[in-house]
Amino acid sequence: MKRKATSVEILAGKDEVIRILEDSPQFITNWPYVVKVSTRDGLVAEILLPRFLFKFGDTYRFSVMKDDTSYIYDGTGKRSHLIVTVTLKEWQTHTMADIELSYKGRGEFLLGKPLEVLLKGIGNGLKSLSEAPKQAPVPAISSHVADEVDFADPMSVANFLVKSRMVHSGLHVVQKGGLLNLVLELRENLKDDVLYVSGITQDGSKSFKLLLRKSQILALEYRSDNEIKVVKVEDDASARQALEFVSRIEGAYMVNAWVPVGGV
Amino acid sequence: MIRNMNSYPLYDDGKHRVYWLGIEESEDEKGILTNQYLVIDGNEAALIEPGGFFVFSRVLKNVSSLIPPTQIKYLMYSHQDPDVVAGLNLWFEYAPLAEVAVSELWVRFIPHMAVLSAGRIIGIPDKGMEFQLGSSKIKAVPSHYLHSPGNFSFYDEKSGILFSTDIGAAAFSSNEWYLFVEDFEGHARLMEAFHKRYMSSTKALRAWVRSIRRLNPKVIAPQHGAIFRDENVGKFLDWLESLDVGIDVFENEFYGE
Repeated sequence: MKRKATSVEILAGKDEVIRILEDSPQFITNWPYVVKVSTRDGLVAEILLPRFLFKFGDTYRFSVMKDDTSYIYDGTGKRSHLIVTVTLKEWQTHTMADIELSYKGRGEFLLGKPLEVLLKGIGNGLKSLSEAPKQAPVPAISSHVADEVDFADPMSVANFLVKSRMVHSGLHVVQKGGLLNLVLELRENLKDDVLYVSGITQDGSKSFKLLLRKSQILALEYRSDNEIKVVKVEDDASARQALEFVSRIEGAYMVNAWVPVGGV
Repeated sequence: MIRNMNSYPLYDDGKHRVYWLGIEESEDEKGILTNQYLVIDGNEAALIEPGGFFVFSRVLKNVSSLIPPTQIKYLMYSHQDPDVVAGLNLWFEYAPLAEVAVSELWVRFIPHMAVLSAGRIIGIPDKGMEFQLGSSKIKAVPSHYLHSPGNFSFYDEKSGILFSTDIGAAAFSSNEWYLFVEDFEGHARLMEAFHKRYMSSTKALRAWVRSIRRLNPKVIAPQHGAIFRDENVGKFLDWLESLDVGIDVFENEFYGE
């Protein structure tokens, strides 16, 4: 029998995690390599584990057992037996989930890597499903979406872009320290306070994303060959840091500029 | 609610890889969930049917775990439905070096997605064209009137996978979801209503089947529903050939005698 174990820290209370574990069909649907889930006649899931050019598949009939701290998903297939045990420990507002996976049967000695991916994915899936209600991005007309843009969080940028229009796109040569001159040029024909400017070199090796309100930098992402820096401007120190990275930008960039179209 | 946030490898020979990018259901989709696919050859990728805002977070996360989005060379759209194109402005920014491939019929609509084309739009001519991706080719195969008047399937020659736009769409019931079709007859019952109502013309459908038989795909992967492989590819094409759809079915009902 092959056994693997991992732990994930979940930024949610135990009740929230239990809510996910209780919905076994949904929880199992979200495991990696699951290609079929049916509840027509008990809980049945087909899992296809890829290894080299082959797929090791089996259809498991699951029974679910639980006690105060653990959930056991016991899957019996035609050619293999799979057991996933999730044990929860609550710590303040967080929950630690210890997950153990046991596999016995066909391909047991070849499947180390895919079983590891399966285990890790079960943990990550449990974490993202449990934390989802807190993270659900809802673009709100009344909020200042531009202020919430943080380039470390792609959905905060998506929330901004989905309510924006592109006003410029073109190739520009940026002299060292000259990016803000380009921003001034772009602003000449715009009356919007908020401006989002991004640029990328033709080979994709360097890029930047910059969000401004008038002359104030709100957020920056800077990528070069060997460095990625994300700055969310919240005080003088982060503003100085953002300016320092802006001053480093130089070269030929494909530049796009976007402005909000209401409610941002 | 059906939700699988993980990608799944459909083909991998070490250099050329194809992935299905997960699935999630919104309340209004009524079982007709959207599939997105990623084809990678060497250092270049094509994102097929990128989808709308609702799925963007998952698709971006799964793409980013497989290849940097800056290496996406093509954003490939089969047609102009919102569940295919509504995230175009997001992908325009997140895949900044990618070109957008869509029927030339829809190019003039792109400014309505709030983006400037900036030389990044490829209008696919009605007869189709080929796209070079690394050392592989993706063919845009005419699929007009099925259901959109400017519609393309995309055929990845190396893997033998045909991305068949809405052709093959199925509506899942609430107690079952599967990625690959196993019981074709059972699955056909989930496809029939959609095809009869959404596909415009029996003639167009049969012409498409003829052209697809010439390609001889190993796998057919639709934008909604489940994926056909092995003997189910042939069964699916036979089923389509026997189906009457669209105006040929509804003429009297909609317009009277």
